[in-house]
Amino acid sequence: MTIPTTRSGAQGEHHQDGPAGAPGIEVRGVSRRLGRTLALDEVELSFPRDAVSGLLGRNGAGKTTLMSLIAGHDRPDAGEVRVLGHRPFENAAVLPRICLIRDNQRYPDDFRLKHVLRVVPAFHERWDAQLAERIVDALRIPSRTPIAKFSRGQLSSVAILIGLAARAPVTIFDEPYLGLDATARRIFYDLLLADISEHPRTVLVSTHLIDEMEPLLEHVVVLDHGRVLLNTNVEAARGRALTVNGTASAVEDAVRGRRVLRSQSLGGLRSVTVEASADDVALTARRDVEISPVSLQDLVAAYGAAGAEPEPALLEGASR
Amino acid sequence: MTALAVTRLHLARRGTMLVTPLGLIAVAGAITILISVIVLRATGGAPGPDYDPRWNQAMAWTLPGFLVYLSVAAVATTFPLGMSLGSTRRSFVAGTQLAQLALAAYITAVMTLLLLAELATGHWFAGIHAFDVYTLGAGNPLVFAAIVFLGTLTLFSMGSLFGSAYVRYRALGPLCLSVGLGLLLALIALAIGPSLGPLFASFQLWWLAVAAGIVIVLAQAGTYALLRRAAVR
Repeated sequence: MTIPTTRSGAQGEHHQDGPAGAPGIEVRGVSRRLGRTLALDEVELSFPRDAVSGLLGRNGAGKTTLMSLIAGHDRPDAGEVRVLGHRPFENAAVLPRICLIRDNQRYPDDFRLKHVLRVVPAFHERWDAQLAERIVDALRIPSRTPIAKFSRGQLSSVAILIGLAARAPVTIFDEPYLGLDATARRIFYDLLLADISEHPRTVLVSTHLIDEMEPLLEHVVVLDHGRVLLNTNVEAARGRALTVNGTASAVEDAVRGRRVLRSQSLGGLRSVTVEASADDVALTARRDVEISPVSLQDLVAAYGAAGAEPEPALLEGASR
Repeated sequence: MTALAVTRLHLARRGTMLVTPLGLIAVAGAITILISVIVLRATGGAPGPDYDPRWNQAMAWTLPGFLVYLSVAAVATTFPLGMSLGSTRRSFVAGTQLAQLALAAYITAVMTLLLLAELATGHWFAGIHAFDVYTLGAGNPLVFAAIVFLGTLTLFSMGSLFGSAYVRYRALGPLCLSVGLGLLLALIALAIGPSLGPLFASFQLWWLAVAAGIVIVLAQAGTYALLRRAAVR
């Protein structure tokens, strides 16, 4: 399921936020070094306005660093980030319209649910108290326990509560599913889908549960080693690779000259994921191999595996 | 106004902010009463000329630890949440200062009322000195209020400074700040050492107020300077 790109109520709210049709978030040539690690390396990408985008990639790919820069929690060493047309760092014109609750978000000692419900509306004028109440009930967030003593899943629930009920024009979820059971995750996806349909906004979600969240996503960015491997809409991403199965020799012949993302062998059989589209007749017309589409999850896993290689891998001569 | 939202964020925990100081004052008061009763009973109600209950410092030392904890935590744990909710660093510092001013005024008002009650009741009908003590102005309500207010703000400001040093540079920040401030104080002591005698001889209480004002301004400026470019981790 793909959410419609244009929704009622989406137009006219952002006249002060750059030209109509401009991306919600733009990242231009951004680099950020954290200690000895180059967390982001000349990243160039954009996230569409009023759409749900997925930020994908392996641990350490640079996702959290990128989200920090977008939320104005940090500054790039080089390049520029623009959110709704504004640079976010120390910018009162845009920061109150961004909400990022981190996966390791810290709360004041003794902070409880009632404090969240009392304080967050002061920061976000679009806060919906009724929606907040529904989320508290649906996710069963404890009211008496200090947040510092919450389980991992309960902390995620608080992040979801703030992220959804704040209705910030730019909402960023940092692995919002951590510790949540399957029911709670389903509730989150349903709430998100229902609320952004009524109140469109730019949503950015970092996730490893790609299969689960794919129906919500319209746009995906895949990062690896601080570089952008993929930056496209979900449909285009799905059609970006194919898996070729068959005997080792037939597969090797079929994918010769193409970029191999992942390769597996079992006896004389081989399964290779390559960058290729469904209209690549030279490949899809072959009868000696079986061609199958690649899910977004498999594509990201394949990119992650390929990104681990020092050079773009071509199968010719390769025997992984 | 995000600064006011930050102030609300700090003051949201009313129990910690408003009730805990009262509890600490009550505990200090109870200990003072207990010790006074023990002394009076032990001496048959006539403690002797060396006993001066105005040297009781319990009330002066009961709150500082808590106040410093509050202000360190206000930056170290509340700053990341404030940033996550969309505050600028400037608004966070301004909102934090407002909250600290409000709390200092609250603590000053409560303690001054208790001093007035102590004076009005002839020291709680038993010669017990909890608030009317030398270190807190020797029973002068104006001096008492000034000491409590400026003292509270000074502690808050220093706590914020150390909290922001931690946010900016982690454990290394407060360590370097402590060493730096220690060296600075040592240098100042060395510089004015030969004049210490005459300085003490001509000491005026308002000097302390000016010194507190300078410390507050410098510490708050330092807090902003440290947080201005601090990344949220």
